[in-house]
Amino acid sequence: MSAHSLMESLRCSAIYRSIVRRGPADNDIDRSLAITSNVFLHLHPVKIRRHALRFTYTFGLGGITTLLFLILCVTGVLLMFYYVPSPERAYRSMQDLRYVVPYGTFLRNLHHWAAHAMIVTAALHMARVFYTGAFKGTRQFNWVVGVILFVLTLGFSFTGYLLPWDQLAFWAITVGTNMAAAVPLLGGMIRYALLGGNIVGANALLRFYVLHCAVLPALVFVFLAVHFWRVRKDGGISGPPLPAEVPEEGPPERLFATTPGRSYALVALPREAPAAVEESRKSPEDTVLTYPHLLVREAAAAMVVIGGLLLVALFLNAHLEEAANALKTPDPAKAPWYFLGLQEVVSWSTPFIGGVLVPGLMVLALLAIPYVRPNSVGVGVWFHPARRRAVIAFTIGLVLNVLLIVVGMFFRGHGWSLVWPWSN
Amino acid sequence: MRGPLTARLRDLATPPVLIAFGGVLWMIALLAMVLVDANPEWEAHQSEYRKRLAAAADDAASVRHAGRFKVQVKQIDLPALERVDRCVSCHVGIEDPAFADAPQPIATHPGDLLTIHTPERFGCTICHGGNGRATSREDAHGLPEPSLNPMLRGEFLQGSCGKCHGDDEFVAGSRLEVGRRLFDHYGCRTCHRLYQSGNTAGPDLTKVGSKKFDAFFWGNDYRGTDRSVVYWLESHFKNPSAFYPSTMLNFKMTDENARALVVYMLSLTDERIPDRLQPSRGPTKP
Repeated sequence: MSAHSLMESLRCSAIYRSIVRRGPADNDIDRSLAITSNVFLHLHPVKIRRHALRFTYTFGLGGITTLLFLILCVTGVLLMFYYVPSPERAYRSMQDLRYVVPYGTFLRNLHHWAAHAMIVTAALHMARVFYTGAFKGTRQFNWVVGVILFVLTLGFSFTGYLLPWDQLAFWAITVGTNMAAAVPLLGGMIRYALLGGNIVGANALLRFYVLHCAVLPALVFVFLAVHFWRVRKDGGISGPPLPAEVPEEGPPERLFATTPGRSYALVALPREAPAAVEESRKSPEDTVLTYPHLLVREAAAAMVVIGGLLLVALFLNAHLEEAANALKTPDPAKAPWYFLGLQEVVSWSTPFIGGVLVPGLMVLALLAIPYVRPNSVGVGVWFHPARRRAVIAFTIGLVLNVLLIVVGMFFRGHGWSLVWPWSN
Repeated sequence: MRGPLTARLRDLATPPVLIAFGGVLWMIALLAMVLVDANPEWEAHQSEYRKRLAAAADDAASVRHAGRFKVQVKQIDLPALERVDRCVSCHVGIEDPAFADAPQPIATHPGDLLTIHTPERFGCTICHGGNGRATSREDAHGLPEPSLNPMLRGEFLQGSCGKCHGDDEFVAGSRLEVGRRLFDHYGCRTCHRLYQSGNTAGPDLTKVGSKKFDAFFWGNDYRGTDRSVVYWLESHFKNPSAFYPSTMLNFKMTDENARALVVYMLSLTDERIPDRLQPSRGPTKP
C-alpha cells in the first residue's frame, strides 16, 4: 500500500471523519465548511480580501504576536513543572533547569526569547495598525482593546522578570516597583499591594508568580477573544476602500485544483455590517478563500518564526546572575529593558514624572488616538498623506522611546553615568 | 531600489517554500539540541568507571555490582545543609577504595576524612566549595576564576574545617590553627572586630570568609587577572596597600604566615550548620 493510498484510507476512515467531520476539501464549498465547522479555524472569515494577504500590509505581526503568546503558554506550563515560587527554591529551580532537567536550558531560553520578542512584535503590530489607519471607523474600540493587551503583555514580562530570583530579577523589580511608589497619595499602597510588603521578598515572589501564571493569562485570553471577535465582526482585517473596478485575476496562486461553480456565501455577518463588507459583497471577485490562501501563509509564518526562535534559543542562553541578594546593590541597577526609557526620564527628573506622569500620559495618549479625529481618512494605506501630521507625531513618540531605551540599555554605567557601550 | 536579486528572492518566498525553509530550521535546531545534550561530561566519566568496575570484577557479587551500575546524574541531597551536591556525577569513585590509583575525576577520595565526614551526611561542597548543583566541570568548580563559587584548593581547603570545628579542636600545627594564633599574635583585634570582641577601626571580620571576590576593593590600578578572594587576602596581608592606600600596619608577613592567616579568614563564614552535624564535643564559637 503506498503512502498516498494509506493517507487516503485514513482520511476516509470513520474515526477520522468523526473527528474532522469532512473529507479532503477539493471544492470551494468544502473549503468554506472547513473554516466554519472548525472551532479554531472559524476565528477566520471564510473569505478574505485579496489585499489582506499582502505580507507588506501586516507583516503578519498580529498573528506572530499571538503565536508567541501560545508558545509562551506551552513553555510556561512546562516551566511550572519545575519552578517553585519561594526565595529558597526559585533560584535553585533555575539551576536545576540548567543542569539536570533534560533540555531545561533550552526550554527556559525559548520562554525567555519568546517573551522579549512578543513585546517587540506587539509594539510593532501597534505601530502597523497606527500607520495604516486601521484603528478608524468601526475599529476604534478594538484599538483600545489592543492597548489593554499591550499593557497586559508588559505586565506579563514584568512579573516574569522577578521569577528567576537572581540579582538581575531582584533589582529590576526593586527599581520598577519603586517607580510605582511615586504615584501621588496611593503610591505606597500600590507598591505594598504589589509586593505584599515593603521590599521585594517571599510575598512579592508569590504574588508575581500568581499574577504571571494565573491572573494575567486569564485576562489576556479574555481580551484576545474580544480582539479577534471584533476583527471578525468588522469584516476581517482592515484594508483600503475597494476600487470601482476589480481587476480580473485568479487567486494569488493555485495550490489546489479549482472546481467550477461558486455556491458559497459570506456567512454570519452582523446586520450593521461595515461598509467594507458591503462593498465586498457587491464585488466578491476581490476575495479569496481563507482555506488555503490565508492558512498556508499563516503556516509559513509560524514555521519560520518557530524555526528562528528554536535557533535563537539554542545559541543564546537566558541570563542567570547570582542569586538575589538584598544587601548587594548592583551598580547600575536597571529596570527591565522596555522600562529603561522611563528610568532614563526618572534619572533626569523625579520618580513621579518618569514613573507615573510620563507612562500615564503615554497610555492615555494611546487610548485617545482613535477618538481624536474620528474619520475614516487613509484607512488601509501605509503613511497615508492625509494623515501626515498624525504619522509624524506618532513616529516622534516611537523614536524617542526607542532612543531612550537604547541609551538606558547601552550607554549607562556606574552611578547611571553616561558611558560608551564598549568601555565596560 | 528593488534589484534583480531582491526581486528574485521575493518571487521565491512563496508559502510552500517558506514552510519548507521553516521546516529546515526546525530540523537543524532540534538536531543540534539533541547533539548538544547527547554527551554530558559526567557520562564519559561514569562510562569509564563502569568499564573499570566490570574489568576488575572477579566474583559473582562484584559482577552483579558492576552490572547494576547505572550511568545517570548522581547527587547527594542535603536538605539540612540546604544543598544538593552533584559532584559525584563525575567523581563517582570517591568512596570506592579500589579506585585509589584511577585517574581523576573517578579516583578514590584521598585520606580517611570521608570515614568521619560521610558524604551522605556532609556532601562535598560544605568543605570544598564550588557549585554543587552544577553538572559541568567549569560551573561546578567555579571556573574561570574569579567566580562566585570558587573551590578552595590546597592548603586553603582547611578554612572549611573552621566552619564547624571550634578553635580548641583545630589540629595543632595545621594551617588553620597557625592562622588563628597569628590572628592573636599580630593583634588584629586592635582594629578589627571578630564576633563580639575587637575594635571597629577596620572592617568587621566575623563573616569575611563568606564575602565574594566582588565585595573586596581592588583599587583602580590593579591590572592583574587573579581577582580571587584568596589572592586579595594574601596580597593584602603581605602588603596592606597592595590595591589601594590602606591604613593597616604592614606586618612584613612571610608568604607562609600570610597564607595561614588567609586560611583562618576563610573559616569565618556565616554558613548555618545544623547542630546535629556539628562535632560531638560542641563548638566553642561564641
